[in-house]
Amino acid sequence: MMSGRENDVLGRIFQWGSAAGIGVAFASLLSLLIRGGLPADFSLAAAFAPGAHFAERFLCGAGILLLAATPLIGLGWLGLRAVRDGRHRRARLAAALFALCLTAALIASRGA
Amino acid sequence: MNGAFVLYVFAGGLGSGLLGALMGLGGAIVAIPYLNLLLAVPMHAAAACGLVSTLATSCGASGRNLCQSDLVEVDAALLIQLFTAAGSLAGGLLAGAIHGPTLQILFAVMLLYGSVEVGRSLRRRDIDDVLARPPEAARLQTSLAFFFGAGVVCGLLGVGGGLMVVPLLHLFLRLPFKAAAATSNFMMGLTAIPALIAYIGRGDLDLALAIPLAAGVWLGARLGAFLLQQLRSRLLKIMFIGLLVLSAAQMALQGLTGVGG
Repeated sequence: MMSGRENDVLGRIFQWGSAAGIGVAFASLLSLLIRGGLPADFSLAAAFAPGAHFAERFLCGAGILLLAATPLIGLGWLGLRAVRDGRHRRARLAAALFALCLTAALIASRGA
Repeated sequence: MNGAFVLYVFAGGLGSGLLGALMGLGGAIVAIPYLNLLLAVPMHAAAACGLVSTLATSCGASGRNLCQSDLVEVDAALLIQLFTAAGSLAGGLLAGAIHGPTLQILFAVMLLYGSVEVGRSLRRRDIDDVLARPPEAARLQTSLAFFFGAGVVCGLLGVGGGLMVVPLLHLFLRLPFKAAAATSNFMMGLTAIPALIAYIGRGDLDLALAIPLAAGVWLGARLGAFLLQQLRSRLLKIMFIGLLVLSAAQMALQGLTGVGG
């Protein structure tokens, strides 16, 4: 069973990780819109390409990546906490899930 | 792309996040048709944005559900997620080996069966008060094969798992409906990551669409998670049955006409 404190920390990781990512990305996108620097094809590669309005584009890309990484950060925290507390079953479960996600991501990126 | 378009995307995100968090479905089920049919966004770009909306729903709703309620069964979710994700991975690798339209019709039948069973549970008004929390260990172990199977079907069809996972959590694992929806939302975020990486690799993720959508979805999901705690389970189940029937009809139509197979 998760303790109330663990639930709270995990919830805060989900909440603030995603809020920071989305907030930074949204503010940067609005800045790009206002300053007329929004690329016609705004893919993630375009966000990190050098050129005009690099800082805003970079923050848009980094914000979305932070949002995508947030569940993995939460899972990593759960796993590390389980290792520290000697809860081996949960630690193994978190490690297996982490490995499965990375494998799936690797397969997906190869297939892309 | 202009300010008004960003506002439309943001507003659509609010609705998808709200419904996704209430039903435990991730949000893409609303976001993709909204972008594709109403805003004329190409399907592959809409699907990539749908995955971002699933992530934002999962993070926004789980943040609230974990901090301000005890609805999420984290330990059970980790175990179930392992089997569902493994099934989804296997299904993704098998995609193309099985006749798509047949699978879509089979999926539609399973969704209809799920809607009937959720409907039957409506007759027992007190059912959500007597169900076990956390789920019984024996029941959890026997259910893992079903979650693996649900993952395979979702991977084969390329659909989100919430439509199958929520009924399984509620009916088979006997979690109260609100806990099933909250636990499903917690699981959805991890499920979306591998597919999102594939879309990013293909250059299909349009940040100008994804960012305002994610912002709207996140706020909608926070509101949805709040309402999940306030609304009665019976009302949530009736809404969920409606969504199951609609999705089953859409899937059956695609299967019968051969579109999307």
